[in-house]
This record gives sequence, C-alpha cells and structure tokens, in this order.
Amino acid sequence: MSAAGDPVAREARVLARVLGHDGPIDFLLERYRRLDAREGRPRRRDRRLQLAFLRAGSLGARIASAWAARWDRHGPLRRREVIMLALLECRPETMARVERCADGGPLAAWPRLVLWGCAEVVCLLLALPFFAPARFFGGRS
Amino acid sequence: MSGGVLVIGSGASGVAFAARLVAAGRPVTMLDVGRRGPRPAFPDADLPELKRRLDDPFAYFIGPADEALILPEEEGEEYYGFPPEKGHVFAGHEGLPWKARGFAPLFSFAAGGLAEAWTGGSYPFNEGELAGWPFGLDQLLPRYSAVAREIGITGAADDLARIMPLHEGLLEPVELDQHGLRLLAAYERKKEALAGLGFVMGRARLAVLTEDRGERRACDRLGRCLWGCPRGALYVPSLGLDALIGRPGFDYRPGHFVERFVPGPGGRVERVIARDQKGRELAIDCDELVLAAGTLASSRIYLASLRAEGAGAVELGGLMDNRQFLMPFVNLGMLGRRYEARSYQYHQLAMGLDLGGPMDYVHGLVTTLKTAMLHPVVQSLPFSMGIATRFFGEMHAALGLLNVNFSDSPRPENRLALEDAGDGGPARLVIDYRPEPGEDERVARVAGRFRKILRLLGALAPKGMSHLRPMGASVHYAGSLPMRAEGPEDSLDPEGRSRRFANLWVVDGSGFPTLPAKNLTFSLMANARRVAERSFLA
Repeated sequence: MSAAGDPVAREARVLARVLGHDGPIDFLLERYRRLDAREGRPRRRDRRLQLAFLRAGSLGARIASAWAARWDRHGPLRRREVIMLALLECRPETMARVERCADGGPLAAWPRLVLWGCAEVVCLLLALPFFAPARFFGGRS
Repeated sequence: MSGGVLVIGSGASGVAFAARLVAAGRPVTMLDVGRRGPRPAFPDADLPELKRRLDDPFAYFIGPADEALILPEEEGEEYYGFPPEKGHVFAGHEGLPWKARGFAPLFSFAAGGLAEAWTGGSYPFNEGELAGWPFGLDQLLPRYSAVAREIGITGAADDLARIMPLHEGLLEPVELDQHGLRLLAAYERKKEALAGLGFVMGRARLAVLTEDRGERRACDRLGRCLWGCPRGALYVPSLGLDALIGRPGFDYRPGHFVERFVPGPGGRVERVIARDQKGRELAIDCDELVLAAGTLASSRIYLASLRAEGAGAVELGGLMDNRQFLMPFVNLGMLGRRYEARSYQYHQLAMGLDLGGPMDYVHGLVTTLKTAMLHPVVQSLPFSMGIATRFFGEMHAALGLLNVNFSDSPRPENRLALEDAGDGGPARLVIDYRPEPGEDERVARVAGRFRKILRLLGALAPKGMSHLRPMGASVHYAGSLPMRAEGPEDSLDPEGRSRRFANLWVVDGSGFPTLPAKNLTFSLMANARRVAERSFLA
C-alpha cells in the first residue's frame, strides 16, 4: 500500500522524522500499527486537529506538538510521539540518529539549546491561532 | 518431612539466614513460590550489541504486551519503569489479594524476592540509628563484615564513613564515569561549605563484584544493570539461593505458597499449610519456623494463622517504608558531551544529609541510568517531543537523578489487617498508611537544601521536576512485628523470636523497630545472620 493510501504508515514516518530519524521504519511499522489501533481515535475536536496536523507533514506535526507539550500533555499526539520514540530506541542504529550529540562540551551546546528554544516558541506561536479556538470552542463531535 | 528448620521465602534475609545455617551443618528446608525470570540473553554483549542481536528487541525492551511502555498519564510521571525481564519479580499471586489506602504496595513471589530488582545499595546502620533497637551495633557490625565477604560489597574509606560504619570485606569501588568524577571533584573543592550544610558524599557502597569470584564475574560495565546483570556481578538473592541449592542439608521447594502456620496446644508452631502449583493443600511439619517472606507477606501469614485459630480481629500496627523523592538534575559541566553507556548504571555516588538526630538523617543516591529507556524521561521535559529529543541528546550525559530516602518511625495507625474479600476466596490483606504530620514541610525543606547542595556541586535541579513517590514505592517495608526488649504478644524479642509462638522467628523487615533512611537490604541480611548465629548456632 502506498503512503498516501496508508495514513498510519504516513503518520509513523512523520513522527519518526520529527524525532530525528529520516531512515526506513519498516521494521517497526507492524508494532506501531498495533499500538496506534489500541490508542483509537480521539473524540475532542482539538485532538483530532492535532492528528490532522501530524498527517499533513513534519511542519504541521511540530506545530501541533508544541501545542500539545503545553496544553495537552496526555493527548493522542503526545502519546503517539512517545510510542514512536520507544520503538526507535529499541534499535541502536535508529537510537544513534535520534539521540545526536556533537560532543563539543557546554560552550557548544548552549547556542544549540537556545536555537531550539526559539524554534519551540515559533511553533507555539503558529499553533495558537489553530488550536486555541478548536480547544475552547470546538467541543466534541 | 519431619521437623527441622523451615524457612518461608527466598529473599535477601531468607537466603542469608539459610546460608549461615547450612554452612554450619544445620539442615534447612525452604518453601517458596520461587518464580524465575528468563536467563540473560547474550551475556557478554553490551547494551547496543544486545539490541542488535535480539530477534525481537521490542519484546525485550517494551514487553510482549507493551507493559514497559510508559505513556503520558494523568496520574503522574515516573522516570523509569521495571523492564519486562523483571516482570516476574513483581507479579502478584491469587493467594494474596489486598487493598491499600495511602500505600502502593509491591509484592514478590520470585526466587530471590524483592531484592531481585534492587540497586545494590549496601549501607550499614550506625549506632545512633539503632537507638530504638534492642541491641547495638556491636551485634550487627561483625555480620555486616561477614555478609560483605560473602556477597561482595564495594566501597571506600571516605567521608561516608562518618555516617556509616566501615566494616571489613570492602572491595574496590566501581569505576566512576565522567559524571561522577566531576561531582566528586566539585565536592572535594567545596567540602567546607558543604559540611556546613550537614552534607557528606562518597563512593557508593554496592553489592557488586569488582573482581571475579567463582562463577560470578567482575562488573564489566555492560550497561545492562536495569535488565539484570548477565555476569552475576550485581548480587541478587537468587544467586545466593542457587549457590545453596544442591548443598548437603538444604532442601529447596519452589512452587509452594504458604497460607498459614498451625500452632499446637503448647503455643508452638507444628506445621504450615501451603498450596502447591496445582492448588492442592499440603501440611508440612516443622520444629522451628522462620518467616522470611518479606514484611507484607510474612505479616499476612501471621495474621491468617491467628485468624484460623479464632483470635478475632487482629491487626499489626507500625508499618513503615522510606518515603522517597526523585530530584532530576543537570550536571552543567557535562552538557553537550556524549554519555558513557559503559558504566555501572544505578548509583556510583552516595550522599548523606545530617539534619540533627540520627532519624533526621536523609540518605541520597545519585542515579545516572544512562542506558535506561529514554521515552519516560524525554516526555517529562517541558518541550514538544522533537525539541525535547534534541535537548535530551545534548543533556543526556549531564542528567542525573537524586534519589532521596527519608527515615520512618512506627505509628499504630499504619497497620496491616485481614478482612473477608466477600468472594469466598482468601482473606484480603488491608494496608493503611498515613504519612507523619508535617511531612510536606520536611520534604520541602530537604528538597531546598539538596537544590542548594547541587548548585555548589555545579548542577541544577529544576524545581518543577522533583517527584514525590507514593508511599510503598521504595519497597523498604518494615515494622509490623518489631523486635523489642519488652513488648506486646505480637512482637519479637531481641533475638527475632515471636513472643506469642516459642518456635517462630521472623528475620525479614517485619522485625525492624525503626526504619533509618538508608536502604535496608544489607541490614536485613546482617540481621538474619545475627538471628541464625545467636538463636540457632550459639
């Protein structure tokens, strides 16, 4: 089945990419499918929107993830991200890609940390116009 | 079987007790449920190699039913969980239903008991901490030495000796990683200021071999501690048990769940009633009975025995456990460096905070757990998961977890009792626990002091990330049948013998009259050995 016709596989690929792994994920797809099925589909509109952003691609996923990290830490997107991270860390090759460290010491690390902090703020600002209305006025379907 | 010494349970205390008797030529029978876990896969592989070689790494690390996957939950966050390999250690038993208020109990029916999942911390109590006990350090110190010689304890004659006695038989400490080296160097530089805060730090005392000993091999820093040391370097009671099995005079009977004992007319225990794996009831005679099933399970056996004799609604007060809180911190000098997967994973450094009296002493362990699963920690960071993962990559080598233990004292309202489950099955163990009044303030004060100490050591502990663990989570249960010089019928004499039943001894944590902050397992083993020598071999 192509990625376009297989939304779960697409979702998994985007999640892996957001977590830093660009390579193949065939080895974990079966397991991911099982866990995804167990999670089910959310009823709240803002949570469905999070998953729609995830399926839209990496940028959408990052924006939705920044929202979820502040205001929906136990929601479906965050749970799927944690599942993907857990699967990726079971293999040393994928783990090495996810958990990169330049090994330059504290002076080299601080600028990167600040840069990522800024990226997080930008994603959060982009998320607000979409998710705040969906959360507070969206209700359930 | 006809008589002899019958020991119930194969945990740290049961094995220490039986080993001492068998070594002296006294026959021992041990009844145990005795569940076993899988044998370690690829015992010479380090963790990345293990991940590479396993057919199904997901089943190994997350579990066949995903039981080790820690997902975001409303109830609170844990920074690490028990791996599937150790699932057998905490699996319950249908013979022991329970209900708890204010307490999150863990039970073990594994060969080796709860200490199959311990972290090896072996910290002897000092004279002050034994103030509420019916005997002094002179009775425990030689047994600490003997246990150390038998199982292998690492440590050094450093500042920790001020708060815990030095005993014989210490092996060279485990190798420090860069994280530990930096903390220790900072401690040496700031020692004066830290001493003013009542703080001392030193090399962890661990039940870990740093030299080969028989079939057990020295720690080779494979990074697999959390999943069970495949080299047997970290002592767990099942290693002691396996060394006993086959020795003349030792009769090990796994597959037995002991329900109760049956006293005769003279107040002496005559037999125990157990069920085998097929659920058949068995009666097993004994001359002397030794309960070593762990505080909760031994107390249940005791209560069920009284209940069967029509003793009415008996309860055992004084249940204790070490309250723990976890304080994650960042060792700033380690930021942006690669972490060392090849290191001893639990704690390489230990620390103590003296806040006045011995029972105000607070014990801390610096856990690094570099090879633990990352997803529980990454999800606790206050960022989106993609950014949190990148942050984590830069911070991994710098992360530490301070595990702080508080002492506990007996209070009658913290009790164990039995009640009908209402389903015709076995009676239910009821556990009630209420923390000491003022505990919140005490914890907050100690947390503030540790934050200040960590700053002096060059580390930062973000305030919102400390986590008070539920009572029961430390699994240092004690105090339901305390040893006292004088006491009520449902207590023990100073030799660990029941005041109600003349041929019943209790050698697990039930007999501890107070619970100092230090991890109790080493003292359990020393006390079990003490009881064996003074009551059975004298």
